Amino acid sequence: MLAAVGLAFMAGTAAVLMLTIALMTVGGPFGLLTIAVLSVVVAGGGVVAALLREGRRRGQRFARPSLDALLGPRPERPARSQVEGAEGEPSGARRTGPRALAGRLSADGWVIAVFVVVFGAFALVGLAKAAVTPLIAWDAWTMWMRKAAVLYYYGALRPEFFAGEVYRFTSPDYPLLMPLWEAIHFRAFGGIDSVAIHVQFWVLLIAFFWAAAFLAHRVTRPAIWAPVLLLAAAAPGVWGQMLTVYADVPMALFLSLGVLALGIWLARRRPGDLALAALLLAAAASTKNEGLMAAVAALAVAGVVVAFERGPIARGALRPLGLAVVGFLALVVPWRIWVSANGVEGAIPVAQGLNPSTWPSAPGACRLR
Amino acid sequence: MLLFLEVLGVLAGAVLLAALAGRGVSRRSFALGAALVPAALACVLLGASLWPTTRNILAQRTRDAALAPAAAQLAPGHSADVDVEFVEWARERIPPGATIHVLPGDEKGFQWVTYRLLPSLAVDRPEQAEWLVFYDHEPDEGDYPLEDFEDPEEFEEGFAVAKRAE
Repeated sequence: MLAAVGLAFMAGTAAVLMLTIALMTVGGPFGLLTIAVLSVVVAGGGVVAALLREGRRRGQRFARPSLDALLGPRPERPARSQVEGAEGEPSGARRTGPRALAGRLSADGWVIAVFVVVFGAFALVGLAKAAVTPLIAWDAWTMWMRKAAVLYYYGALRPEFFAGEVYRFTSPDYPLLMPLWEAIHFRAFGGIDSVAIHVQFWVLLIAFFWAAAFLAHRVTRPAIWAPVLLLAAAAPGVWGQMLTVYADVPMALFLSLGVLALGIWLARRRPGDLALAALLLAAAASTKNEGLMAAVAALAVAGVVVAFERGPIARGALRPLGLAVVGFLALVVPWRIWVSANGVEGAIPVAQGLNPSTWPSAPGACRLR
Repeated sequence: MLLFLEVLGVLAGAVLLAALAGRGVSRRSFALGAALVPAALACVLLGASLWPTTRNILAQRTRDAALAPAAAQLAPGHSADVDVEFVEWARERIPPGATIHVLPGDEKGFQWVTYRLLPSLAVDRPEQAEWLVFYDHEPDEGDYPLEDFEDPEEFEEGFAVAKRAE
């Protein structure tokens, strides 16, 4: 269960923030109470989905609520006779403590243990830095935190800000996931704190790597994913950029997880993976306009892969993929409708996103620093 | 171009690894190679960079922690080289939520003023504003309807605020 906490945090954060944005576009209030209620609703939805899935597995309509039902089937434990010490001691006298635990770890277990220790230390070091980092990046305060401040003060979408000519430099048509993320924490802090907000961004980064490890472990060995994730975490272009409080890295975090989940669905065809992919891709699209382009591209590629498959598996996959696209659009469209209805114009219209002349230097943006 | 070459390098490494495994290049061996090459590269790069990166983070933390909390909140303005003190002075005079019109000397000043004076929202024309903010801009009769506003209260030359007359 602990292994899935990172993914639960990312998915839950994405769902609550996007539902809040949708609510605000129809005049709903933004406040800590709204967030709390939506969090309970999202968590409740997750519990219901888990009980339905477990019920199906047990041949029932709905599993009786219990920890076992929520966590799903446990791996088979070895038979008692197989659980003996090195000297053939009976299981009743099984050794305990760190040495015994170390002796029982498999090679994969050792790799995971080292990953947890190294990543845990890195997370703590970064947290200490995040807690004192001043906000100095230009767009971070004039664009993202400005919008967060408007949401914090007014608790609503103010057309005079988003559609005002005087504020056009803030790219007002950009989606609001990160400003809303910041505004929630400002409401919880009781004020705008441009230093403390770095801690929240760091927590999001840690949750991403936790989630990525969980998903990657489903498809490959720790010896493959652990060094790759550790290197990605240690890359200055990742942690350094994250602590600028720009939205680029958060967008990439949601996009990466969404694409990974989509890839796992293409390989395994579990409906839960597709639903997760749609949710996370929608979060990427709700973070930056570039995220929308990338998410659409990912879903289009999945569609092409499915379309070129043959047989009943392929035909059966088109419908759930179509439903995932509908779910994706349902989460992304409310903000787009509000932007259009209120005459909000940005520096680069979304429709221009496919025009290469509007792209920044893509190779420079992709280069690892 | 560099990214393209990097990806090409990984794919070439995967093919080479699969070929060296002695069973020919199949989908499975290529997939295994494609997973092993980044993992092996990651191990090498991690070994070389993890400690220097950690030291760098700790050094930055030590530097940032030396900044006083109040100064840290105004760090964006100092970093942008704007007149932070004037804007804080203006904040004390303009009630939160009042509409403002900014007459800026430059774009940096305009953006900092409109950011720092939130929840006051900026408007396009002085006729719509309850307060005027002169940032590095001498109040001039051509800029706004003089009769509608009180005399500007000056912080220093070129930096002032003016309240709409009752």
